[in-house]
Amino acid sequence: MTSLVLHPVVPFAVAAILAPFVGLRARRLLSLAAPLAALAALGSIPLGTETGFSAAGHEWVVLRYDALARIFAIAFALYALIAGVYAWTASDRWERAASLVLAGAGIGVVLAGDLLTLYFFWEWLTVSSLFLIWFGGTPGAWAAGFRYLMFHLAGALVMLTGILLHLGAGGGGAFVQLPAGTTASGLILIGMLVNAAVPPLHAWLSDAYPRASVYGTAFLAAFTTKAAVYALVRGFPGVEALVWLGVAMALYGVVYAVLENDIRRLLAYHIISQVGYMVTGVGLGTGLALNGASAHAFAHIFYKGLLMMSAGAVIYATGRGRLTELGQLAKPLRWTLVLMMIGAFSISGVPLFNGFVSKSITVSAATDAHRAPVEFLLLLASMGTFLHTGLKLPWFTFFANDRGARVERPVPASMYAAMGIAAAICFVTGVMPGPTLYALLPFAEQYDPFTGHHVLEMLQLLTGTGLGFWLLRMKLYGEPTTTLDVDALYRRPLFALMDGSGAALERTGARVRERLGALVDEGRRGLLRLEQRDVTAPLALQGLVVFLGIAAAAFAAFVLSR
Amino acid sequence: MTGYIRDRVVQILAAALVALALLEATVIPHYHPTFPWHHVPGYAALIGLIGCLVVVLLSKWLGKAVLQRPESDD
Repeated sequence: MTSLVLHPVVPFAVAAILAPFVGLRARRLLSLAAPLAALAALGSIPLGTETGFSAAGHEWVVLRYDALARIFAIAFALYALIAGVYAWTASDRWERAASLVLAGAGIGVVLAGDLLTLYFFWEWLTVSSLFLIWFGGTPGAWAAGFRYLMFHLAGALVMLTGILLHLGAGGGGAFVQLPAGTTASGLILIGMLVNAAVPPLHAWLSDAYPRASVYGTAFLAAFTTKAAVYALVRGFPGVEALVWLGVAMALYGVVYAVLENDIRRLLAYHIISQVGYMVTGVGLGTGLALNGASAHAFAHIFYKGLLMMSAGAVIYATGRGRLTELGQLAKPLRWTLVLMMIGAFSISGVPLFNGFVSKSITVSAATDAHRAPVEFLLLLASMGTFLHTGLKLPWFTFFANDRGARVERPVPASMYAAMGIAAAICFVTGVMPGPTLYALLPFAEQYDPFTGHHVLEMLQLLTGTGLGFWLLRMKLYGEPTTTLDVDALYRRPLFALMDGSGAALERTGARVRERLGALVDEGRRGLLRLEQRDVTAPLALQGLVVFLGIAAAAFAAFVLSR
Repeated sequence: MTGYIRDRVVQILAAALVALALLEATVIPHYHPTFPWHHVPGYAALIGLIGCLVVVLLSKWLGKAVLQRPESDD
């Protein structure tokens, strides 16, 4: 019997198309209905489903649903629902549409069974994230969006080149483990490392994510980097370089978080740090380590979302987002504090929260593989995580000195509800990982985090960190500074290059204009208009229409092919 | 220094660390010692405490020397 299967991306595509044209109430319902429909679809698709269509000499496997795709797809859909609740009070119709596209693209990536479908959704991650950054609405967001776009277009082009080389060499279109050591694979890997924010290809993340609106950041934190982790687990398990890149990532974010003053940027640096654990797991490549990477991605989506949402709630209520301007908010924002601490305990690996049951798998995989420095450095990174997210962030936000921050508008109930659901997931998967998180793991290896010594080890690490923090807390006061990251190395040279090529274009344009006169003038005026912010909406609309068209065509072909 | 020793928070945390290390030395040893430091009771506490001091001081020095600039929005 052939049953009609709803591709889980379709509800997001439809909701994204409708969102800009309906009223606020309908828009809110759309951003809840789409993830709910996607979850229902995921529940109805039998594990092992692999289907698609042939066109242009390529097998387009638009839906491959195996255990690895499942854990990521469920996390994405569930988190999209939570972030949809969080964004209940958001009013910007285009921002809502972009957030739906982002969630749909994330799910599209993890369900893609061939390299070109993967690439298609990969680009939609970039486009939708770009608009979410731009809707931050500040000049800084506008500029960071362009930097984000240039970086990700370059990364995606490198990846596309790799894919085309791979196809040309007869590597086959299926997205499975890719051969190590070929140029094609190397290029695809680099494209994935850009999206996973692996240093030195990471600066876009800490640059751009904190500049979106509080709603936009809540969405941005979840999808792009974890979709890249999925792609690495699928395509490059056991690549040794990833072990060390991952360890470097885990520690890199820690150093920058010491210096960071912006609360959302501090958390963004800890996305890089946490994704480091996952990348290390991919590099170790054992079943246990890949389970660790997947489990940690699942846990991370919820605890990091919770942290970003609670930081957003502080910004929403006080209008301030810098540690040097916050403090003494524990009383007026006590529930935000409680919820942020649940996220902080989770990311820090406190027993009974989800980070403990997920991070431990990767660390244990390193121990089992007799990788002493890896285990040691990951423990050190755990220290840093607790130091910043568990101690520095809440201490200077909610306690420490009064820097004049006041609650100017109450945190909406919808934000509390979203944070509450995320916190509940962090806690339940932390207490009962067996039936919740571990049941979704892609590989058969069993793991029990609740051994006596393991709990003891973590308590020692956390208590030691707590003492260190207390002794040095005066040193950790935020400073109103900007911290240079590796993007400082390329931003000025690139600017000079683009300035030069811009001038060359200008000269060419003058010659062409002489010949084509008014026609070119018209085009130029159109190009200039692109620089104004208010045309992003029609641009987004065009993009969305194309997206809908392609999604509908793919869906139709998919149904017909069955 | 005496200020630190009189600080109630320091006293409590230090006592907890000693207690946790003693627990590891007596009741709950490492279940599967793989690396040399697994035999040292309280090694995780030391990683936490010393690691914290080193990372903070090192990062602060790095920030002052190289990385930090007056705040700007570009």
